[in-house]
Amino acid sequence: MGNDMMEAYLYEMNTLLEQLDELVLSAEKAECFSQDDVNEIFRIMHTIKGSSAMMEYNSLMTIAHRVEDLFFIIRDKTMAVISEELRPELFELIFQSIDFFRSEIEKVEKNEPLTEYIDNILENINRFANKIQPQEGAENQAGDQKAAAGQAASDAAGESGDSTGQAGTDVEFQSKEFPYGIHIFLDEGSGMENLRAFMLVNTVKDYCEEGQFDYYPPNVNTDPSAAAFIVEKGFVLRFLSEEEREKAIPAVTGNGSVREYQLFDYAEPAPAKESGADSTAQASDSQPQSAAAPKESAAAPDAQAGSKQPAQGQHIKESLISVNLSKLDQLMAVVGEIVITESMVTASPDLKGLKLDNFTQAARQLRSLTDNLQDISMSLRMVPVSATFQKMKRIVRDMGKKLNRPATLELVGADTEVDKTIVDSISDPLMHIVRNSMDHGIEETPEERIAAGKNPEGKIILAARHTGSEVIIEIIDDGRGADDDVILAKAIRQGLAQPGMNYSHQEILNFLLMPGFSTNTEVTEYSGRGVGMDVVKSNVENVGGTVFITSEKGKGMTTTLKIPLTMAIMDGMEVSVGSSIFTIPINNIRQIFKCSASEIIHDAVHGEMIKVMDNFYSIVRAKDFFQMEEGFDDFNKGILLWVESGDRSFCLFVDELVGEQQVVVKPLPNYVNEFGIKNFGVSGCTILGDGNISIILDIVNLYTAAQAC
Amino acid sequence: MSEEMALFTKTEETDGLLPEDMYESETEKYLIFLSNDIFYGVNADYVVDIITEVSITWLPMLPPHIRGVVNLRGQIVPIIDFRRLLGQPPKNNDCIVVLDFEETKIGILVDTVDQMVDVEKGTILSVPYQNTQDMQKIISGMYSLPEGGGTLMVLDCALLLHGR
Repeated sequence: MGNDMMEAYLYEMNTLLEQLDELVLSAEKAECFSQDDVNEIFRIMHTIKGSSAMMEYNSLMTIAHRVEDLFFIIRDKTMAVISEELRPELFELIFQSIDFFRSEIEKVEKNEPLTEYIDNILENINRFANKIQPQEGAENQAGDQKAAAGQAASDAAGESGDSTGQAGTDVEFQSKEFPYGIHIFLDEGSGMENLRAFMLVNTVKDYCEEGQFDYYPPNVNTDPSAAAFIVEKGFVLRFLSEEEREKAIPAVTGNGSVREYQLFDYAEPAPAKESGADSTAQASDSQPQSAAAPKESAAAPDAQAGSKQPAQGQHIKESLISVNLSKLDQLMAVVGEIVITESMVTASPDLKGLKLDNFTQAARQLRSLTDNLQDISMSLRMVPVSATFQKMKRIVRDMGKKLNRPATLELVGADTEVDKTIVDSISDPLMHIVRNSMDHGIEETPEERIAAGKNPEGKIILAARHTGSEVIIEIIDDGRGADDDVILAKAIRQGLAQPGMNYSHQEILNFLLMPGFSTNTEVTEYSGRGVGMDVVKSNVENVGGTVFITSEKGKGMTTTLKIPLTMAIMDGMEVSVGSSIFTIPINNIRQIFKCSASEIIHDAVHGEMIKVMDNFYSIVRAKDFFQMEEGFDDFNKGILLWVESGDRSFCLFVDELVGEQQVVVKPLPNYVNEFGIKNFGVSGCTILGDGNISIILDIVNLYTAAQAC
Repeated sequence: MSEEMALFTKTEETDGLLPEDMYESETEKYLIFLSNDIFYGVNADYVVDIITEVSITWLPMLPPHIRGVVNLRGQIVPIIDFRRLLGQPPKNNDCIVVLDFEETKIGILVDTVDQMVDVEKGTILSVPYQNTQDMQKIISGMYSLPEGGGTLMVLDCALLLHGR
């Protein structure tokens, strides 16, 4: 099987499932599916069925088919068919199916064998289908429990009630000898419809005796022109008795290329419309007329919905293409080179002293074009965080149900865009934090919340916003908040804190982010699986971000993730030490200032500090830290950079400022990374306008290493 | 430099155009370079460039034999000082042989590049056991150059990159 096909399939499935998840979640809140929702779910299931069949994933196809059937019923009869009590079950059922699809798709991605055993879910769906059937089914066809049966009646009703326009075809399909028919439509564009119909006939023969039924158009196996007829008007199986028809239904539903089918009974050729209406009345027997009326109105647009909806969906999709991320990486790299080369050319030392009006003009033009190019190529990699945020909704819902803690998740700024790689890498941390909030944050019972003067329903806010070069994601819950004493006691028990020491509130909160810390003594299904917030922290730091926690006991907790918009390009400040040039991310720099040696405060162990804005900060000398030979030792000569990242704040002493520049971040070769220089704050490098290389410093790692020295 | 480059380019062309010749004679091309008056040879298949007069950017916290990185047409390539690697005093040399071995680019700083030689397959002899551990780490064979041209130490790229 082609890789491209597989990728397209996975992409399609993931998109559809996300769409579905979102749709069902919002429907659950409204406790009802609108007719649009039902149509949409029907369409999605239909697509999943089709493409899974194409990929030969039978379990996926079967489930999709069953759910599609279920929604066929709902589509036909509107949500009214499902009583209030049954609705939660319906939502649960759909979530269950979504989860099944998800897990199967994951298996496909990992190249693992798919689940063969799907009877569980199938049974659930069937049972549910039966539940919504009998109310009408019992009225129509006594004692009939088959899923399709009720459908039969209503379809027949819909068909004949609506038959005025199609009377001609109906007559054509009707047959006195075989009064009980199934009108079948095959999947659009599946091709060779006549042969597909013939295969269907063959399958039906496994269920029904030959001679008990016939079909129309005849000669499907030999007459290719029948294909066109079937596409246009469908294909009909006709049976001697109702029982035989019942037997054949599994064959029809089990066939992958059947789009939809309707049952109809033979009606005397109708001389006038009245008899059509009569047959409706007959078919629906005791059914009150008022119930039939909305059904008809619903059935009419649905007849076309199946074909119209996908067409619309395709139209929207056509303006989007999916591109392999590695291609975008390459593009980004080339654009980076162009930006650098452009400045190498226009600032070439060879041009010094020359008066080149035309050149300068053209260079300016080139400059604006390269800027443009850079912006566009960066924007290509940007995706909104909404998809990741939506996933959290599901977690809050599931956990809320399971733990019996009603909570809502509010999304703010879900359309904020960040680099694709960053979106991917924050998905897990976000999930973990949200789980923590649900598990540890929100109070155990609504009563507890009421007692605390809060809304009985817990609230978690997931907010994203831009600040120039960073995106800030906040996870705010209004739960219990962090209890300093509990955390400290735990930290001491885990050996993270010294007993008897005085820790500030912030320091205590920081214990939460340390490896080996988990406040819940019990391992639950959702959190406390041995991985804690430290994993969140390291994941976020891997993409150059920081994690910060604030909390007030009894009021809740806020976890803030600060993440650079993109890792590829950043604003940097170039500083020099000796002959080396270092680049420090601008957003880490709080202040740059000169100081005199007299302002420096010394401690007993050769530590140096300085007071800035009413706070003391330790000083790290870049020259000494990196064991460099050149560079200033005298504070009067050099310059101090007050840098900050997360909760680390300190001053870095360097020789001179070189200037601010937008730089393309390049990773260091693996050969040198193996020596662990990342731990010393050397996170990458960048090529300067003159072709030289500057070392990019990571403030957090630098400080950690400096403290360890 | 230009002469060396010409020599080098020519070899590449020969490689590309007449691979049969290679098999007939069953020879391999080796680039000879000098470091501290000793001839070293490296399989020319791995040589991608020879550069001079390039400024090497020092990187902190690395062992002394890694001089730093250079910008080779936008790529960041680490540079190993061959003298330092073998525990010899560094010299103010600036000739770098850039190797591409298994997708990893690395530059070795040598004294000078000498010439390209054809070495018949199977004529490279193994290195006798010595106490000079530093040599053992990166040299996989020895070869006597024709017409009394001296002895060639054959550099093993795999050992150079991963044998640390």
